[in-house]
Order: sequence, then C-alpha cells, then structure tokens
Amino acid sequence: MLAKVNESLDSLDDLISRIKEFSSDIGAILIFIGVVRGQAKTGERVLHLEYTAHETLAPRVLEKVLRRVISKYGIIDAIAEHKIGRVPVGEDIMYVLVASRHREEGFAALKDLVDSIKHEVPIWKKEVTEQRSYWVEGEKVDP
Amino acid sequence: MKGCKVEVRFYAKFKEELGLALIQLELEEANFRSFLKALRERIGEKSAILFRDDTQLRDDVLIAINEQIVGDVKHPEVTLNNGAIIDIMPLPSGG
Repeated sequence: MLAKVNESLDSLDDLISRIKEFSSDIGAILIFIGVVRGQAKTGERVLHLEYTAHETLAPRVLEKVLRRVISKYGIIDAIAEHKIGRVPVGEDIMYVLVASRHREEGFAALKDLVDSIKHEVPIWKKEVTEQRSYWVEGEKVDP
Repeated sequence: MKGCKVEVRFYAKFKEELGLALIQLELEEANFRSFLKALRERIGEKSAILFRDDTQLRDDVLIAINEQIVGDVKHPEVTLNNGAIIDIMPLPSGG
C-alpha cells in the first residue's frame, strides 16, 4: 500500500511494478489517471489548476481511505498518489491503482477509492481560467 | 470551568477570504461552544463565511481538533485542551 500527496507523482510504470510485486495472486490491475481538463464546468477555458492540501492530515486520511477500501472489497493491494501545487492542462493529477484477484471487485474498489479521495482527503483545488480564478466547492457526502 | 488558549489555522478558501492563516484565541471556557463564540467575535463582519447563525458553523466547514477530523461531531460541550490546534477547512475538492 502506498499513499502519497506530493508536488510530483511517481512514474506509473514504477507504481505498476511495485503493486505487481506484492502478490502472485494478482489477476487484475486497474488504474485511474486524473488529468487536468481544458474546459471548466462553466465552459471557460482552463489555464491550470492549483492544489493545496493539509500537509499532515491529507496523507494520513488518504492512507485511512486505502485501508478501508482494501478491507471492504477484499482486494490485494492499492496505491494512491495525488499531486499538489500548480498543474497545467493535460497533466496528470492523481494515480489510483488497485490490484485484485478478479476484475469485478477491482472495478468496484477503484470507483469507491476515487470517490472517497475526492470527498474525504483534505486537498483543495483552485481553477484558473482565462477570465478568473476560483476555489472549486467540495460536496458534502453523508457517511 | 477554566478557560484556555487555542491555536486556529485556516486553509484554502477560508484562509483567502478571511485573510487569516493562523490566530490564537483565548477562551472563557475550555469547550467548543466557547471556541465558536471567540472565533465569531474575532472574525466580526466576515463571520457569515464560516457561520450559519450565532452559534453554528456552516455545513461546508470541516473541523479538525489536534489533527483529528471531527466531522459532524461539533458538540458545544466537547472539551478543548490548553494549546489545542483547531483547523478550519473547506470540504475537500481534490481529484
């Protein structure tokens, strides 16, 4: 398991090798790559995103989310890395990898992980468009 | 009940909108109710950024006490230790 919130992401190839080494029972590796989209929900052209995080809480909550999802779906292992700082359009923001015995539980775990990271880990995003910059509002999710 | 001093840290949108990163508050009583009262007095006319009424925080305010997220458990009688660190954060919007 690896939970990281940092100014740079590790290479995806390295992360795949790392998760593969964990067990010979792995039958599927599922990967989510979050990328900065060039158009905001308002239709404005995005120049870049700025991510900031609670330095100590963000990695701790990320690790907690990983542990919960691994246990809930019985998957073999998971990795999540989230970038902070300025991230231009087209660049990767987040890698989430899930290793499972079969694809079904892997897909379910991956979706849960990505949703939980967005809603629970204290990381915040500011969208900088051609016209303005604004903080993106988080959504309140009932437990 | 004896009072206490707490340190309050603001993050992201709240840090910008309030123009505050870190403040210290002296509380009349060492509990969450007293903290909210002192915070509201300190931020004055900008209190609507964090408060929905005189005594309650808005739903989009996330609180951590001594680096533990307290979620919806913001009970007024929750005790605070002297030197407690209280983080005031917006809801997460990463990814």
